[in-house]
Amino acid sequence: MDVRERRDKGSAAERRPPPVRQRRDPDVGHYAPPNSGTMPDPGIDREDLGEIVRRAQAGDEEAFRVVYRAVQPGLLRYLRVLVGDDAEDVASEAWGQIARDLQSFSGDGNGFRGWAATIGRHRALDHVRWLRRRPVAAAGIDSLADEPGPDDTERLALDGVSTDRAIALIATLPPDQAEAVLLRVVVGLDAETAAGVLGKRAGAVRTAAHRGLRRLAELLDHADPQQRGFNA
Amino acid sequence: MTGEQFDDVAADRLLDGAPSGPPALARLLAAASAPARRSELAGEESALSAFRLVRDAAPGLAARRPIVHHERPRKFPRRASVRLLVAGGALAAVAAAGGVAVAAGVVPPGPLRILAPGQSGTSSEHTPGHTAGGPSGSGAPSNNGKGPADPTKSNPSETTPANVNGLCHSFQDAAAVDLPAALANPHFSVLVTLAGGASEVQSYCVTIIDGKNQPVQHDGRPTSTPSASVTGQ
Repeated sequence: MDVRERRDKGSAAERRPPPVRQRRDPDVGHYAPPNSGTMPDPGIDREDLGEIVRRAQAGDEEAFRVVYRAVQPGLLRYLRVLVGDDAEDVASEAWGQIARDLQSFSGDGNGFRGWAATIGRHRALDHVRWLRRRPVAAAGIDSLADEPGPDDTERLALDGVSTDRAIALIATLPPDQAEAVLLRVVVGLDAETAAGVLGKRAGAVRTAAHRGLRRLAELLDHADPQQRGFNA
Repeated sequence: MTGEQFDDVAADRLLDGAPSGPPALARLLAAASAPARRSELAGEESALSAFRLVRDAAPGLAARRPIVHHERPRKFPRRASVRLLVAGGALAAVAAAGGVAVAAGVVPPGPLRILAPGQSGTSSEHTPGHTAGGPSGSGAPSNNGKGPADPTKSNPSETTPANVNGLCHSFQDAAAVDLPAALANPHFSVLVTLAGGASEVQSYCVTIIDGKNQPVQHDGRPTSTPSASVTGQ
């Protein structure tokens, strides 16, 4: 299938979303138009991000702001699973390092996301041994069960609470699966870049992501009616 | 739909962002990757402050010298240091170009180093030796894992830029008169950020003035190769 071919053969630089792509690029939030609770659409796609990064490297502060807004949400959600409530602090450290080392980066938008995720991951691992301490995970399902979810898909996608619940549910996965799913879906990396962040082979990350998705599907399938936020 | 009812192709499509597989799962992933909420961008000004700090300091400082705060978070309570960084950013914002002017006033004076968007290359000439740090656009998985780690441990022996040294001297003079006032002075907010917190500025400056560029060596920290401990899972 074209999806696999694209994954296996294309370089990140050449890999463009297929025309049928409906989902986010996390930059843009294709899922639904922004509402009052979300930030204005920065209006960039993956390729543009690389160009904006270059402008930031040249000293353009507003470009750096756009980069931040494009990358931070996914990064923060990823870090939330790694370090729980400390995610903001770790993200802040990561951005300090990103700012500091910005000149050393070269690559496209996808590469930059991977670079930022790697920095964030290292800061997170430096911060805590998250395998032993995954505070979000424990609370995840409980809080998920607490709130009846809206059955309106659009609202669900826009609802900040449901974003948190979704992240919390992903956090209940085994760590390798959680990371694989988060890097691919939430941070928005392609398979190779996600593998690079994790220091694994792309095939292993793909397998972990697939297992994670199946596990999530099972969790949703067996969820009690109160968890129907994602079951519609 | 159950988890068994979607195959690898469907899973790959989901991972690539196309609706696929069980609808509930697709919705969950949609929610997980929904657009940014404002609360998630609360650190924006702090990040921009760090960006400006690096950019506007001497180019040599910008490219070479790590922000010490980020190298040694454990020396200082994290939340406190982050708050201080934010505070420093706010102060820097108040001071606007003043922060730059401070640095420029201590160092050989020069034009404010505020680059126009198209004006490039001032600091890239001082790119650190680890230019391979970032993964290339093609993924470069083999590089990827250690890219960001390299800068962390890269240049422990770089000399401290003269402007930080001068700023530290100024700070010590001011601190001798009134330490809390000196720490609250926006002129020294750069030092607060560099030191990793207000409580660290004095010892930071002592170390700087003594000629040791790094108050705390970070070689021993696990930052460089942390992934091994986790990827085993």
